[in-house]
Amino acid sequence: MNSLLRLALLALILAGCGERAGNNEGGESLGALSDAPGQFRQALPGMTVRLPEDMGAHRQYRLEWWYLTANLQGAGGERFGVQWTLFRFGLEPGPFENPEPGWHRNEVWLAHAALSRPGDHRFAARSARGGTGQAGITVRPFRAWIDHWQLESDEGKPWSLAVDGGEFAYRLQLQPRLPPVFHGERGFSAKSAGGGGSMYFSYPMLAIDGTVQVDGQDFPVSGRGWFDREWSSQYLKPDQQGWDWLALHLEDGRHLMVFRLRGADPYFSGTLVEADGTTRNLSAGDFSLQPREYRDSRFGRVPVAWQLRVPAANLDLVVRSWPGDYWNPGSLRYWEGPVSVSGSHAGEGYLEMTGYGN
Amino acid sequence: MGLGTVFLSHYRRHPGQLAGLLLILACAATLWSGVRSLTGRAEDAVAQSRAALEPRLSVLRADGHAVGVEDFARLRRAGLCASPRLQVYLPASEAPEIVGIDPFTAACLRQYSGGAAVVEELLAGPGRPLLLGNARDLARWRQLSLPGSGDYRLQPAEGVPPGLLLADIAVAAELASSGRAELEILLPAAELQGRALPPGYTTRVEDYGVEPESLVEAFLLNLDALGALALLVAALLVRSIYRFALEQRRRSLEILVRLGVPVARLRLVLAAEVLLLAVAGGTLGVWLGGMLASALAGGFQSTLSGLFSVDTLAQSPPALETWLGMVLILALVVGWACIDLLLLRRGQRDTAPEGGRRQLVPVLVALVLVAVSLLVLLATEKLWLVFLAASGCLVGAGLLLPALLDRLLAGAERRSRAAGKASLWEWSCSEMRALCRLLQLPLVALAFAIAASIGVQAMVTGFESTFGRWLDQRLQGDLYLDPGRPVATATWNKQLQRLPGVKTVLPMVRGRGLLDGQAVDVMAVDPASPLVQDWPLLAAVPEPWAALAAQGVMVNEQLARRQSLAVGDRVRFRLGSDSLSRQVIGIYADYGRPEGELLLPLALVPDSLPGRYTTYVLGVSDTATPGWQDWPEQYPWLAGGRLRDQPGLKRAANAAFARTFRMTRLLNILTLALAGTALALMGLVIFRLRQRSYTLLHVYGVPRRQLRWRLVAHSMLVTGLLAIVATPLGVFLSWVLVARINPVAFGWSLPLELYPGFWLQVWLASLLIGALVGLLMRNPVRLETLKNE
Repeated sequence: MNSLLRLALLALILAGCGERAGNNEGGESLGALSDAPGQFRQALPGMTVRLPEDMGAHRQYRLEWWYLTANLQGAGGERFGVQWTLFRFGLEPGPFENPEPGWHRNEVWLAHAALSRPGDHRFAARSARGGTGQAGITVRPFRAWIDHWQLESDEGKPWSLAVDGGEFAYRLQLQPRLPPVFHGERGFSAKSAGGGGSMYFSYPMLAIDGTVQVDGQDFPVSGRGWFDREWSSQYLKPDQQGWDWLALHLEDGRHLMVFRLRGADPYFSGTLVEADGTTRNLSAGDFSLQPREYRDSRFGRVPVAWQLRVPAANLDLVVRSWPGDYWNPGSLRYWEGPVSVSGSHAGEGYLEMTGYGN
Repeated sequence: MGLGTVFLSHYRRHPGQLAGLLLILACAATLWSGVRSLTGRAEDAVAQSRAALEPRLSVLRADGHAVGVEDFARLRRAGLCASPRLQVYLPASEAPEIVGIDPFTAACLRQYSGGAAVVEELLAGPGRPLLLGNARDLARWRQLSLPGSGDYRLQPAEGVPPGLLLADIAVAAELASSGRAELEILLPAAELQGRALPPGYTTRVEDYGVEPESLVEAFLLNLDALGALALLVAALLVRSIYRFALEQRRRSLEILVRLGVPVARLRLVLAAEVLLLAVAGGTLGVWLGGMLASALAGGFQSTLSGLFSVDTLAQSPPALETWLGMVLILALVVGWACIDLLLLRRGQRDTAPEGGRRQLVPVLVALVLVAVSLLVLLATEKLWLVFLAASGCLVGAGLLLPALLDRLLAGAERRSRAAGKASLWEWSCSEMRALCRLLQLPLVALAFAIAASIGVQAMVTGFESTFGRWLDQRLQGDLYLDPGRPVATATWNKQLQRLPGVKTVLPMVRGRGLLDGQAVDVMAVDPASPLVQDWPLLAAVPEPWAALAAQGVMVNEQLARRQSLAVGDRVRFRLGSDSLSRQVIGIYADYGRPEGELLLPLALVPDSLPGRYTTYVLGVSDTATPGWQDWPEQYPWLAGGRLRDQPGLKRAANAAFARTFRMTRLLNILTLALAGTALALMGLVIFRLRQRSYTLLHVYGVPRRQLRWRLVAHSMLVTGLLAIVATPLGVFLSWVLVARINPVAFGWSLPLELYPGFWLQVWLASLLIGALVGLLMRNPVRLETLKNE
């Protein structure tokens, strides 16, 4: 669910109505996610995930992304949040007739990079047409890139991510400590009670170390990350206004992803990952997610503290955003920022919110 | 009877005053909004056309193959901000050229950065084939009805140069099969300062051309300053007329107060009147300003397109903001004028001046203001301070001018008294002093208008001649050849000399060097070539070209200013692996680019000079013979090169400047006319006030006719004297424009040149204004003015 938002942004830019859509709250701005699949294939219950193939591109589908968020610490205790996302937006369903490199107009790639510190959020974006080799994905070895931003992994080695956003940069090694978890029904993650959804799996625990550079200063860092893979052609129902998404790492080794889709009929879903990697699906009856505090931000009031309860897992958490403003700008802006966890368990993670603000 | 009627009745009794006020407000609004509209449009146009002017590199493969999409990807993956451009030439006659760009990376090129409208259009529809262009080219495209061309959506767009249609590169690629296509991968030159090119690639400079946008900016900034001055002149005039109205209305307003109208209400109505006047004058003025701008736009556009490759000057009606802004400014201007009215009854002003001491204070204040402003002006390097200090000087001078005139006339009065000359002359002097006192504000306004005329004329003429000379230097010779790729200088030299009709060949090698660790441009020429002998230099040793060949280096003005270099200094620099030390033997003007540049003899520059690229200037026996245009087709080794006819370019540039000059002159005349008209309006009233003194003289036996001519002479003497006194102010103004504002804003100065011929014209115009004011007052003698005696 991670960057549905991003896709909407891209789609809206491409549809040339970004500004108008940006002023709309709710359903319409998510039009790109709720459009009928048309010639594209739709994610449906019963479909499964195959690896490593599904780390690659799915050209029969309209929208997909590779999405990393990470909570990192510097040697001196400095805290950093890192987000890096690559999106693919199909203009026509694949497989494409002419796979040779060339000036095609059948897909668009987009990448967002952000570096967050308490009270400080920096953002950079890149875009590319598909087919030139400027951006793309390979599965063996795994490589996801746009220009000189790249996430790659050679067989048996840690993944490596290199991003230079101009006023910030990072070079990180990422080591998956748990196997991938498939959300929903063996990877089909429903987004409403009445159908619509995506194929969605995550690497819930990446051990990370490397260097973050900001304002010309290098910080050696280490920490934990969460990596999402998601693809679909129609994610949402037209009446859904936005979502709140959380991915958390808890001190006892468990990891938790929950989301709430706001609409006439709110939809809740989540996955609890035990320290040994076993998973439990969470549905509306299994947990509660309530906003507790709000903050006046650049683009209006947003909920920044949440009460998250999963009684069956003995979790009663308060999830609180770092101080500051974590909007990623653009015609369809979204909040993507690090959080601290307290309550029954301590922890950290990321909060993504769409559909709020002026 | 409402207050409105009372207010109206004042203007009904003095329709001239209302007309005068509205005229001045409208004229000021016209001038200001006209100039703003022109400069604003030009700024937009310049910004749009920057791509054609920025130093851009085209990436080449070292193996000589044409670049392709894989090369683009490789450069992007190396982190370079590269963007492709696919030009498609269709075989049909007069078919517009199709230029395909990649909207996702186009922002790397300055032309398309910052959300250019055309890029937004292309981004909006990568799935929909779209062609953007001007209406004419789109119509031509429709006429061509090429197979399959009906599938494209055609959309008129501003900012696309004539003769081409802009499209997504994928659309252009589809069209490429029906014509000849040329792919280039472009890179801003600045990009290679931070990152290296991947191995296997080289670059060539796509266009070294003149990069004159800073020159344009300087020009526009100065024009804006002129517009602001026009507004200042108007403010003074409006205030003078309104203060006049105050005196006339004081009594009727007092009566209203006595009749029980609350003072607060009166003030409110006065404020409403001010706003109404401002809205009426402003609206009329903004409308007229739009017309003025449209009338001038043709010449302005030709100037810009001739010199600066600015393709289109958007025609847009005055925006609501312009109108609102104008009304606000005018309301301030009128508001300032009617402060006295608003302060009605707050302390009746004492009518009798206290004499010398009281007059001395403003003079002292003005002197201090001028002194402080001058000091700041000389010391500061901040643009806003330069503007502030220049304004301070102007205001101070404006305060001083009437006092100065008064002193001059008082001196004359004393001398005539001492010499026991005709008492009539003494009377004339005191009469003119009275005029100066009564007409203080409109006279200052006229002085500013005169100063503005002189200042702006010097600036524009200086611009014209300097730019002309500079073009002479840059466009020396008959033909300019860009080989289109790096070439072996000496080999090409020989080959070019063998071309029919070619008399002289001047290779010009460019590249990059290091001076004090800073990158600088390097240009190398043959010092013995006859084509360089006439280059104008700002400072040089005797026989500079011989000295250049022997042991010297020349530097451009920017570098000389930045590094505080003077002729005779030694500089150390690196050219590739060579380290050299040479003496500065000349400094040359190099307008338009901010970069520092070293000029060296050709023999000194190694083949390994970073970024080495050679262009040629050719002297031919006759450029009129058409043969040279066909050379690139005729000689395979010249294929891909570009040839340009230098005198033709120069002619076009000069013609363009002549048009600009005409336009500026027109603006000057308008400002002078505005000041003149206001003075005439005021003069009429003032002379009527002075009728008593003329009539008395008539009673004492001075013939009416003589008095009439004496009045004209008074008026002319005052305006003439004022013109002479205001001339140094004009010179000062042009000095501020060319020698202070330009260096601070743009890094180079233009020489200050004086044009006494033009002064004479302005003086003559001032005398004419004086004569006009005097002549309008047909008969200064009216016996009824003595009735009450």
